Amino acid sequence: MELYELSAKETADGIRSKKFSAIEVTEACLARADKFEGNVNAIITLTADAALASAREIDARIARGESVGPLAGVPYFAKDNFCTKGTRTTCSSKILENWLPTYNASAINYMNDAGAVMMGKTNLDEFAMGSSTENSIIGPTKNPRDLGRVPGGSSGGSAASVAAGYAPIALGTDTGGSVRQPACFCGVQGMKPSYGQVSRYGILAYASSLDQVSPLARTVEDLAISMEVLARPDPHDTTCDAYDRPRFTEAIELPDLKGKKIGVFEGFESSQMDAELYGALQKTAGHCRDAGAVVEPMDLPIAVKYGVATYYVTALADASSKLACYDGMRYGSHLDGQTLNEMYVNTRTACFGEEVRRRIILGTCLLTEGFYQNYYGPALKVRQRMVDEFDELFGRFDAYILPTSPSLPYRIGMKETDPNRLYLGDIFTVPISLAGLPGINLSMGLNADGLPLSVQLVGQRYFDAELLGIASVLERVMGKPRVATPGVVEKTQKGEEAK
Amino acid sequence: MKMTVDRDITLKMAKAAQLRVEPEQVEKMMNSINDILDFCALVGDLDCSGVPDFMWRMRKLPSRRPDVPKDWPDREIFESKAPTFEGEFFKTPRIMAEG
Repeated sequence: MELYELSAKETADGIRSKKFSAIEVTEACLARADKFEGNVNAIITLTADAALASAREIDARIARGESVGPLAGVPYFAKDNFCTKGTRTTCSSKILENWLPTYNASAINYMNDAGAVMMGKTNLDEFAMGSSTENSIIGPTKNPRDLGRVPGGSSGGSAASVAAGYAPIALGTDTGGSVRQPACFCGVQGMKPSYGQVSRYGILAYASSLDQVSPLARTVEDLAISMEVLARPDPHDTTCDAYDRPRFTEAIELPDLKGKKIGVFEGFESSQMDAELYGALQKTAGHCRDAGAVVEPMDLPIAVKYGVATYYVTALADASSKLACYDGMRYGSHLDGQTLNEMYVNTRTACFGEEVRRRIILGTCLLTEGFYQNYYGPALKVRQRMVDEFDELFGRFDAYILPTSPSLPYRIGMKETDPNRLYLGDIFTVPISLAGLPGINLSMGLNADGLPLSVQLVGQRYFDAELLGIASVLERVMGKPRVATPGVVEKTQKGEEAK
Repeated sequence: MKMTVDRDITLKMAKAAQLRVEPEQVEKMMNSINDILDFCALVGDLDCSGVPDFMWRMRKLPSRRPDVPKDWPDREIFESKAPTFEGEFFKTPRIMAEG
């Protein structure tokens, strides 16, 4: 096995036991990125020199017999909406094209303190507004499993970098599915933690009441290790809960699902989603039964019917407010004007992309007199009804399974123009975000055309560790995702399709 | 209740958002907003009588940080971000017209 194929756990163990060095791993991952990045386009800023310096320091500390963190020498990428001190943070937007933050996001500090080696910043849809990573200043990222298809989004660059073997771990942010859906499209594991588990300090917000820092990896164990590093109280973020987190890595030692009740979502007509993904859901239900769980059908009538509309009202209103700070004075790009107001307008109009401008205007509209009473106010109440619906379900189930996406990764450039259809792509992820629940995209391997299949596991808020335990049991049956070779579509043989 | 925007409201919203919509783009923006408003009007269809507004609940509230000044190192990063910096001060244009 090549060094770039190792999991974060295998990498850290190997470096600690001096089987290989952090420098060797970093060089292997950089070489991998160098080989394929021309085709994949997942990275906005590569910090190779800083990564090599960090790796050398880890090797030196190990040579001196010093203790190192759980991710010592493990390469990772961060989505380009995490503040990184002295390293430009663009949010894929012209308005922050050359912006250098003066501090690190807490998540970046935690990763660095754990010994992880930051390799660079990955591509995203501008300000995380999108589901395909096509809407970026550096152009679209391509799916390493099939370069003609999108990697999903908005954390498409992070998902692609993990799938292509640039690093075993990447950080993304998930607002309405922005980590789970690209994990699904790229065939890797991705976890959106409960709202409040991980500090959002230093994340360039899209929608503050929904955004969560979320890890991507190729194993559930690496998700658990990442969670142990990332999930902790942070006085810099008042939405980050101060309770004592459990040991996430202990939770994944769960031997089976005996005593667990798992709900299988059956509230969506099979004709409305890809047949293979529907089949994947049924297969997962069978695996849960085989592992000893009681499996029963369940439905989410309010979440499915009202979730997407509620999400867009909430997220757009949040976004219009959060993005008001980009005015040409305080951050990033600046265009002159004859008056202060003209300067604001010139800067924002020229430097925000079309989709971002559209969402800001819509969000502004939703918060004005009349629209607020008919849209934003009702959405707040519908959101509470959704939380109540989930709470009632968790009286009967420990977790449930549903699709992550209703479709397989689609071809680049196939932009959906009908918003009703476009937004239905988020139908299974946004309700989970609105209720603040933890959700994991669990990869199930590839179909006969080499495209990834997966399911979404959802748990009760703050029961992230228990959810990782269930995911680890299922991963033992389904197998771990392999590194993709971009440009080579991995055809599975008949009978070897996804487990 | 379903609502719509016309050209004037579209331009007013853009102005409130500190954005400019060019005359040839107004119709496209207006139609796009109306499509979303049409779809999102669904939130008014669910009976939510007596339901409180959503707000996050936490297990344990974070403690407040002490409200004290602190040194902020790496001054040069701030200086490098300023269009003009002289001595200890950011320089801004002396006069800006009202508007």
